[in-house]
Amino acid sequence: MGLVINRADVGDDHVRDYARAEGLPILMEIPYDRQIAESYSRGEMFALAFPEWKARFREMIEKIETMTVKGAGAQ
Amino acid sequence: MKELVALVRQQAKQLAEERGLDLILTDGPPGVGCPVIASVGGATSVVIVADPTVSGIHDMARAIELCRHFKVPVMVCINKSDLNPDNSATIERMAREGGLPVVGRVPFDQAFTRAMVQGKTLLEYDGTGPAGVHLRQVWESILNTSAMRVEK
Repeated sequence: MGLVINRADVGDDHVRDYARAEGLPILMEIPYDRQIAESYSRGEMFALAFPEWKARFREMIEKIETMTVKGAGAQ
Repeated sequence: MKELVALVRQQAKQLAEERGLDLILTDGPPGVGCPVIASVGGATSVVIVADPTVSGIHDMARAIELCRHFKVPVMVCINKSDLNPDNSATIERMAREGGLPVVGRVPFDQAFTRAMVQGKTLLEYDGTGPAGVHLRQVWESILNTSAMRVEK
């Protein structure tokens, strides 16, 4: 299991503290960004709409793959 | 989930009767699933809060159908109305074509998220800022609709 924190820059540290206490990895943090909201309103996928986010999503996929492989090995 | 909504509404009704209160506000969940159906049945009126997004417009159309089925009068509030003017215009047109009053056009404002982070309602967080002033106007508009005046 892992977490993605949305509007991460507006909030306080509650979610991060919770993740640490529960041992949950934070896979990505998405800031509060009007441009992302506008892109979403047009029905776009923001991972594709913003090149810098495409790379971050790729990184996240890799993290998830690593986690999944580890998880499968533990069974 | 559906049962939970029914239970909460039943207890709210009981409480309102005990205290002689004449209005219950039920905050329905987003989307159009079973819990939404459970929150609409038997309501005096429904306020659909629609975001001007592709999915928001789709959900709004479904929610209008649902309320028609239950014969509940509908009003519409556009949330983040300035985020996408074209989609907001579509929502306005859908409301006009359906004869539904538009009770508010609330702009995109970080104050809502900041209030939520502090665990407060927007009016507790900042009742006098632009967002607070807007919300009060929305409430006045809701109370002035024919659906809400009938039961008073």
